Amino acid sequence: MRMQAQAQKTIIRVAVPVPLRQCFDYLMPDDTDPELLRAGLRVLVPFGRVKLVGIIDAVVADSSVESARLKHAIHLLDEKPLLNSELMQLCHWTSQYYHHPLGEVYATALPARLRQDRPAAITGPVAWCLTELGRSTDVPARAFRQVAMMTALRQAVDGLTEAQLDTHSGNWKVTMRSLEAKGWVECRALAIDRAVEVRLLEQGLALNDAQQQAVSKIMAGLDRFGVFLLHGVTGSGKTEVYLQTMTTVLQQGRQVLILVPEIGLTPQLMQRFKQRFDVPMAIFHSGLNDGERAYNWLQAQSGQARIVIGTRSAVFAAMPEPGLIIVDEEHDLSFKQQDGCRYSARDVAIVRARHNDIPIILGSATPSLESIMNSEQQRYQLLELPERAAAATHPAMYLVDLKHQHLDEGLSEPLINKIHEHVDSGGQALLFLNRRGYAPTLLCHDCGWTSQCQRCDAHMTLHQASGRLRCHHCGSERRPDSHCPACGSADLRPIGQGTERTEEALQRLFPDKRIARIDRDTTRRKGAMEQKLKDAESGRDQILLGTQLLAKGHHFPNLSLVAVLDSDQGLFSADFRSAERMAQLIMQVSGRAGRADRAGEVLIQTHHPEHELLQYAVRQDYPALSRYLLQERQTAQWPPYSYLAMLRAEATQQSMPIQFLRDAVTCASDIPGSDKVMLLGPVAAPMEKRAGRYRAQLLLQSPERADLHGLISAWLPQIEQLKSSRKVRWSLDIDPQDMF
Amino acid sequence: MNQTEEGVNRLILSGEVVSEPASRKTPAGISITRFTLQHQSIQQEAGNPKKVDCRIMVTAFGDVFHHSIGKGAQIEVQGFLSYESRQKMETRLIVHAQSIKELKYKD
Repeated sequence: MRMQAQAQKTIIRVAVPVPLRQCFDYLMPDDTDPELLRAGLRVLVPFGRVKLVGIIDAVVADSSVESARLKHAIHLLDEKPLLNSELMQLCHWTSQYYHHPLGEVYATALPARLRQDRPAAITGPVAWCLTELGRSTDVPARAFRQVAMMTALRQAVDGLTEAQLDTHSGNWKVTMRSLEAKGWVECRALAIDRAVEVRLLEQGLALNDAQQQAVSKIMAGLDRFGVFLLHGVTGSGKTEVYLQTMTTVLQQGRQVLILVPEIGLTPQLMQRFKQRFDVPMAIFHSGLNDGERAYNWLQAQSGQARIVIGTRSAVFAAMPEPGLIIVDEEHDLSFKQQDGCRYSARDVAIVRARHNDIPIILGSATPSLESIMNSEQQRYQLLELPERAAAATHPAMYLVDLKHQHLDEGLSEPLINKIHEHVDSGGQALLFLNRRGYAPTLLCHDCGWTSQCQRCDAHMTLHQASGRLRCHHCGSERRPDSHCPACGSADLRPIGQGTERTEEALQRLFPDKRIARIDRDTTRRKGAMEQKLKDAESGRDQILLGTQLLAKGHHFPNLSLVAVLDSDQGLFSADFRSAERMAQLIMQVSGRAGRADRAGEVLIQTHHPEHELLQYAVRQDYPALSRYLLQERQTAQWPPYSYLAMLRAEATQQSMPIQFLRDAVTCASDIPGSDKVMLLGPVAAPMEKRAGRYRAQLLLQSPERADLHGLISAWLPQIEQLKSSRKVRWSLDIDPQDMF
Repeated sequence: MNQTEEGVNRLILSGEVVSEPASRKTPAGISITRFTLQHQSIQQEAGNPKKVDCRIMVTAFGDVFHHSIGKGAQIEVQGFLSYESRQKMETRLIVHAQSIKELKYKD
């Protein structure tokens, strides 16, 4: 037996979705042909007391575990590998780079339904065909329905789809079932002819010089790895550059992967793709159910879908013939996963392009500082689209100094006048306030008590319409207090402005105008967002008030005025990235104003009009702005001038997280090379208590990526052994985007 | 002086409402009304009658205030005195009404 096992590879190394940094060896399932064993197959294995679906990572002849102690796998789920070697390689890289267990990375890559013990069948379009037996059989003439069906199938070379059969006969299913029972017909997944020409539903638009240059540069690099940073101001026609490059790639018979921050927020981009290409697409977003998601994944995996579009997790979509990757709005935070395996889809996408030796386009009006520095160092090729493609001109931008201004619920007089001016002349105004609810807190006028969340170090936000106090961090809620718990006074006042309160003020100030508030609270119902956007686009609503939901990708043709109500929150924050984000946000929302024939105006309310960041933003000078921010980062040695990792811990007991992190620091100091990595902390998290748990963090910083990862690799196994690690929930975040 | 629940703070004051009462509601739905009360009377002091004038802000919570009361109404307020804001420890006093009686006569 043992000899045979060595001669033939019958031991499978399985990655199971558990938080353990290793694969497990199993004997192949009974009655399995060893020839069928392949890496990338899913397999059901016994694991402790449960059964888990794992991925065969390798098939080996020998195990370091003696064979008597090896268990048998239960059964294989697939005949052909679900994950090809390219995707497995990507998962291996992700596991190593983010120091996350391989089994869990595979689980991230697979849609939920394919992580279960069931076959990976495409339940999409199928066709009924004759079997060999059926072709050589004469059906008795008295079974006239069966005869008719067999005749029809004989005439159809590729078989008949269910849709075709429906037109053939009303109850074909009964007839078909009896034919199937006789073994004369079978049901096959509909084969798609790959050689089919990519049909364009519309011609490409004429390109301006900058677009033309960008397209030719990308075209010249289609056969090899290269990162193109497509920096185009809003409305400069980035999408057309994508579309024309995609056309060539699709015509070469290769697939295109497109990552976007949020599908629901970019319906217009989807529309453009559908208008241009008549090819099967697989779209991934949070609105899909498990079945749809698995179906789309398999469509991409089988190569039927030629265009794969999705949010973050789509970066792991299996594709047999990738030819181009596009990351739209590459600076967007949503590309970073915030729990589990904390990967950055943008960074994984770049690695994937490199593995496949194909180009990748990173598109943005406000590229991340990391990408800008990479382009300055010639690692990325910078393609700039400085002009707005359509006739529109840049909007005029103004800062409104709020110092000594009389504010009506956060609205300054110059702003109120401007809204009148624009709306009265048939324009549309968009007010941006990144704070939902009525007021961020309830304050006792007599003693100064404020409504704190009992489970978080945070205020509870007043939601007037629903009559609730809600914590935006842990979700707990209660009725607003009728009396101050500290002094008994009933004089409790809402303090500060949220969108609900600003809406109330706008209704008072503009009683005859249509006002639409678009935030998470008004778009909770399914379809509500689409309806709101449609009303906004049609110009029916004259004043739009929204949170960051409104900042992205929408095109409101009638929009002429954009106002940022509170730009100060981003200027002064504990997070070193907040300035970059606020600047990007201002540039993005400004891009919304006056896109068509109307010259737009942008107003930014601030208490610090002299702030350099705002000055650059007002001049729409993103290169200067990013230079300024990069200089700041260099002085402070923040990324991209250094590399970060964050070890976070939380527990219900306040002392535990800090204790664990202290022990972790002690471990690290014994590891060779630890002097090349700075350990900052441990400190309590900026919001120490959240959802009833105390949180602390330890920041690791190094000028060299290799030093940082070298330390972490040696360090993690030791951390896992720490006694104090069992009393906390901990996680490691590589390249953290959020300092909280 | 220690704060006790038994400490006495009791005021009865009549007069004319001289500002339009302004009402608002707290998020919990309790209405808060404020107005200025102008008081005039003759009181005995050192064995002699003395003319007394004073003007003070009154605040009334919940049902204590009736909406029939407007500017010009003659009322009698029974309540207690407090700083207007405990936070700033202002020296300005305000009457917290516990009951308000509308007086029918005019003088």
